[in-house]
Amino acid sequence: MKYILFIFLTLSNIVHATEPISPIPCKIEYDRQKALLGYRLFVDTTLSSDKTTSCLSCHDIFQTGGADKNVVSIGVQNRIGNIQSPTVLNACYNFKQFWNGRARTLYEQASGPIHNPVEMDMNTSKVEKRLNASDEYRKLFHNVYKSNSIKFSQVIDAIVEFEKALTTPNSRFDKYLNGEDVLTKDEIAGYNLFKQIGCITCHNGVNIGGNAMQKFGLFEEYKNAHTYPDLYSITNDPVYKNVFKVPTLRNIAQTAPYLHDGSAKTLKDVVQQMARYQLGTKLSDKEIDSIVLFLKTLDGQLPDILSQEQ
Amino acid sequence: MNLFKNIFSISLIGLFVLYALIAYYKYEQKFSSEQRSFTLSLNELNRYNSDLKYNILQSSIFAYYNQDETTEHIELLEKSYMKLRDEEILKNKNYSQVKKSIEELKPVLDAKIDAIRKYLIINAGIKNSFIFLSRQASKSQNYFATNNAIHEQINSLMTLFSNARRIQDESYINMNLKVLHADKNLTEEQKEYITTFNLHATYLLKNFNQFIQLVDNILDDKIDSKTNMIDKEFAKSLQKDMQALNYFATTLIIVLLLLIIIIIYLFVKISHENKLLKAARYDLDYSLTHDKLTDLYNRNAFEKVVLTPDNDYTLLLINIDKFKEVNDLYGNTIGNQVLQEVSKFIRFDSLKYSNAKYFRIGGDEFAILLENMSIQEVKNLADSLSRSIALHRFLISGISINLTVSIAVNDQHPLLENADMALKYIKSFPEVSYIVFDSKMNLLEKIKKNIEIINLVKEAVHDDRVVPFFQPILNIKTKKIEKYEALVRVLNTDGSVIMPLDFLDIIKKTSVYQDITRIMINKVIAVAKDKPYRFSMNISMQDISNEEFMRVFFTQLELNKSSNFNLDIELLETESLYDIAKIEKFIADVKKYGSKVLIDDFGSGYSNFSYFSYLDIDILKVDGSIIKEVLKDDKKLQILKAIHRFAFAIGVDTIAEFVENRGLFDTVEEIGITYAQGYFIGKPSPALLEDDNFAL
Repeated sequence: MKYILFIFLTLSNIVHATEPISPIPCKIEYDRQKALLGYRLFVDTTLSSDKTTSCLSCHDIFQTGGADKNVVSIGVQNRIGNIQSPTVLNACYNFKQFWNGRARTLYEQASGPIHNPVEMDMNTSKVEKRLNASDEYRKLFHNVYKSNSIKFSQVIDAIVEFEKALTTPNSRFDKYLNGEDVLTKDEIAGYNLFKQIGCITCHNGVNIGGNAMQKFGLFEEYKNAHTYPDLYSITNDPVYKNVFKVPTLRNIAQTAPYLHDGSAKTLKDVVQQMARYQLGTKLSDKEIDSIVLFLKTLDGQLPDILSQEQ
Repeated sequence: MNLFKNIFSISLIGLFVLYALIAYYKYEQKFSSEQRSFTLSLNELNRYNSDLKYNILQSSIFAYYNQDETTEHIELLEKSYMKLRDEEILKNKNYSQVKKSIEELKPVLDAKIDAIRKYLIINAGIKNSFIFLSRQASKSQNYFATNNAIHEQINSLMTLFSNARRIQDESYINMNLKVLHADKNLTEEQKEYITTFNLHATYLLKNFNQFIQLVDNILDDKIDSKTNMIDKEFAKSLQKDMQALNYFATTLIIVLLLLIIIIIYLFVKISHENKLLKAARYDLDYSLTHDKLTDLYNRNAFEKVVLTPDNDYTLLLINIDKFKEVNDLYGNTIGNQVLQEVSKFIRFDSLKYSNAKYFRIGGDEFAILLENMSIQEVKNLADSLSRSIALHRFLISGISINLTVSIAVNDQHPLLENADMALKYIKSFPEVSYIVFDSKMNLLEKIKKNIEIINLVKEAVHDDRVVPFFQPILNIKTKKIEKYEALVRVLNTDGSVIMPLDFLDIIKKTSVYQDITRIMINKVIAVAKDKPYRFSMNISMQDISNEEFMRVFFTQLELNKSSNFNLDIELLETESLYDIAKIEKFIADVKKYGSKVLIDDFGSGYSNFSYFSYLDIDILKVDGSIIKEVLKDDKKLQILKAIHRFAFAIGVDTIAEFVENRGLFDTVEEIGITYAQGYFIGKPSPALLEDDNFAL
């Protein structure tokens, strides 16, 4: 059976008939009240030990597409992190969180930076103590959770709910996928090239990435400046050295610098880098420009919740 | 009691079985829901696994493939495994083998997921290399001259690659294959072409083998066989559990059936016992109200029937004449048969009276109770019944017996008593066979009774069965018996004593009274003769008015004049009216014979202190009704004291009668009464006491 299927499939067109990328749904379900509370927490530096850092500090949803403009994150007391912050936008569509996928869910992820000593440097009881000291937060939490004292789990729950609301639908490319005639010829050519040269192999799905782990340096070994937390650091399997989560390409034009080490400053740089290490080829300037043209169509609409006054 | 115990224990077992049934039902429900849940989880795991295989297969073939579904299915597969592992049914130790197998599945699953991860990494490279090589091959003409040998090399490599790709067979590609060779005299562009071509070709040579192995591994995984095994093991354990459940259910059903059988048995037993009980009760009721011999109602039933209020009954009381003779002549067996025949005859003969009730009242006495009938009708029945019985020959055991009956008809209360009286009455008239009760019969009856008494006493006089009894009288001071009171008694033929109360009043109206007086005087004098005691006799004031009595009395005294005796008279007042002159004369006359005169029962109804002013009284006897009460009633005591003071003042001795005990004796002694008489001193007796001295 297996072989009959093989033969049938191999003899037929090798290109799958349906698009390997699906648009972001326009309507998403989330608890608005909870998400608004999460929004407030997301931007509040109270959640960091020296009250200098909030989630927003490294995930600037307003300026840099939910990612960090710094090469690596800078936390409390200007402590330096070890990796470039990925975007928080559309994070809910990622199959795993963090560059090395160590968090299975947003819940697991959200408490990570809060506890990380070089990021927000807090712990469960400290967060609870701080928030419970605030009459306003107590009132807000009471409205949402109907409990008299604030629990850390509720804090995470609210932030996650906010993150669920952070989707960017209606990018021009999504509109194109939905059958609208919004892309220029060159942009469509860029998309076709993107597919033809093999970018699509890893960057597919609703998030154009975020659904698989991949080795950085498939055809040529990538020399890191220093060690980054890769999949090997979790599994101890040498096969997974330099294996990271394939990042989303949505809003890619906003989220410079690029790559886990922030080494690529522009889209051109990163496309060239990817062609070299992942595709084993060198693209012409024309080809790079074409792909960059396509990548710029991936900027989505600002999430509804951000246009709301709290 | 036993029954209650049985019912109690059956209820207890029943409750237990019910409880067990409910428990069984609940367990069964829980069990089957757990079992369903487990099967569902296992199926889910299998489904996601095959979905995942299909995803992998697609991704290995399609150039453009959306991996979202693959990642989603990996997640679902992991979740379904967790769900399976946490299935409630696995907590049961019967499923430990299944649980173990599921635990063993975990590394297999992890290995598969890891294999997929590795596959996805290699897959990207393989795919991109194929894409790149085919693009590169098509551009070879742009870099190299047409007849260059490099085309041949590229073509043969590309054929191998595309075959391997198409057939997914790693044997097309092995490490011995040579990549493109770059000559020294090539241009930079040509060199670069060959370098990048070789980069991808080398990648394929290095990785295609592993790629195919990974795909095979993923598609041909051990999860299927493992889940198959789990399924089989689960089925086995399930069967065991089901069997246990079946045994349990079967046992319950058997117990239930047994209970039902026991209940049916008990039910049958109870109803049988009830039947027996009813029969016994009926027998008892029957024997309580029926005569065994004749099957008629008995006297009990009669009394019950008559008790019903507002009845209008007429009673026929039938007595077989001279039945005793039948019994004496033929024996009781025949006698009983006669009674049976008579009872049948009576019933049969009065058949037309449908409301008639028949009774055997006594030995040879039957009764018919009729309701709402005129006396005339009942009289007619009595007449015809007595006639037909007289005419009938009762044939019993070959003996022919003729009988007559006497019948009393009565509709006045008390029914039976009146009828009885009428029946007794009719017996005096042998030629009359039935009579209707008349209230006059009461009086006649009394007369008859009086006559009987008179005849009895007459016979006693004739047979010399009239005797005096003597009761001693004590002088309290000297403690010596000084007197005796003589009291009349009639002895029956069997020696029993008839008291004067039963006959004296009736006798007084007849001449027999004089006979008794005569006998008494003679007999008392005979005893008193030459005795150192005084004897006393009762004579009523009425007697004194009776000339005939007086004549007999004095005649007897006169006749015994020569004898030496002391006879005193106790005067008894019975009526308030009397002839005082006659009494004065009597006292005077009697004193001529040395008699003293006592007033008897002083202090009772008619006694009068004035007697003492005009009668020559020697002694006063205080009435028993006062003496008896002195210990309890202070007023009586004061009366006694007053009587004593009075007697003492006028110089008259006193006698206290009814001194029955020591307490009374002490009291009368203390007051100063002269004499004491009563059971404490001595009872009336035919003979005198042997010792005069009275010892306290």
